[in-house]
Amino acid sequence: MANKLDLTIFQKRGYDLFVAQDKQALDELRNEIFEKAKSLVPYKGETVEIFFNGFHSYGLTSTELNKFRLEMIGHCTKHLNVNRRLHSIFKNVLTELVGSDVAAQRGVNIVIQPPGDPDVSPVHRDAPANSHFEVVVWLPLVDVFGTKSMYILDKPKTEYGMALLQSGKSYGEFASYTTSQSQDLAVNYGSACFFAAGMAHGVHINKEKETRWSLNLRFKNLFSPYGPKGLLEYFEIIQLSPLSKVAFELEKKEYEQQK
Amino acid sequence: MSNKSKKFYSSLDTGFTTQVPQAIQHIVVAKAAEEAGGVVVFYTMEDHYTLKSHEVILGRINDKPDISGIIFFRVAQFLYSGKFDFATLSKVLERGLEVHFAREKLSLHNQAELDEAFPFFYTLQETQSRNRAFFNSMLKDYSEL
Repeated sequence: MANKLDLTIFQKRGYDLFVAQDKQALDELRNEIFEKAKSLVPYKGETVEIFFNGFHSYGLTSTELNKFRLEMIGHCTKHLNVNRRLHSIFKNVLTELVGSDVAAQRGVNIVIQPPGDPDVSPVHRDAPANSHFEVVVWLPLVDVFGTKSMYILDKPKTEYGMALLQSGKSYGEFASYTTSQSQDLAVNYGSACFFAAGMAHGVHINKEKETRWSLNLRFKNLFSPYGPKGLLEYFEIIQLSPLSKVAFELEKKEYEQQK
Repeated sequence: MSNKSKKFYSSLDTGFTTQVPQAIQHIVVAKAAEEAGGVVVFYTMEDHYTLKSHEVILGRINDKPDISGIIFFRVAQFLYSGKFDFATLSKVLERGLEVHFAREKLSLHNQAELDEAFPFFYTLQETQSRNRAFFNSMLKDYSEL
């Protein structure tokens, strides 16, 4: 019997790193993303690691990079079934966190951050306005470290930062606090950071010599509260428990009798 | 009928115009019609008194118009009574008309697809209807878990 997953750190900090349960499936997904990416540039024959890490050598302008990224997002969302595959790859963690009735973000976000790129996500929390009942999966497709990674504040520090804003401090003061207290995550490819939607997080300008490729996607229990990003337009059902399948069948009969 | 020649009725959300003005709803529905392979040929809106019963749009389709389907602005138009209006959607589909929801990018072409989507609608109804007090009561009990 496999060891039970330890989620005490997640509960204390609001985030933790977890290794993929199905690394082979993750490799397959990454290779399919690689196949699409190399079809969109004058590919030079590199391995997947060298291609992703050295992507800045292709010299895309910010406009070209954004177009490239949107095309990748469209392809991954429409053709690669990323939400269901990530759920399967990290099933042990996600089942512990959100249960067996699962809603997942319909479209996957892909972020490509070349060295020196000034267009970075400033410190923010997803919730609120999103629901706190969401977990964000942040999955780097290459090893990340230092400013090539993202930073996150644990739950106590996030709460302190929010107290600063609530006490009337400016966003600049809040950002200074969060930057000084944040921790750049060191994550090897094959692991992902899972964090509660209310944790403060952001990205520094990448001062390393490699490009970061990462995916992010949100999962939640189907029956948990929703924020403005609701069921159907933002989340879709990707798994139902056997009990819920029976329950929906029975409930549907009552609705059919309306006719 | 080829995809290029599809004609749709548009049914905007009368109860939501304060948040999303009618003009914006028109733009979103027109885009949804384009993505469904056609154009909007007529638009309608429920009266405030028919939000729950959908009598306006049902009256229109009783005239058996030459259209492929109806594009609604959002699914919540079927939740005004507090209980998801499965029957009206069934009636529209039984007439061989497609149903599209612009905001959710959701399309239904027949009863089987409506049946398959039932868990979405039911869960939407249930999660939207719970008030904050429900969660506050859960928080009160949380320390005992």
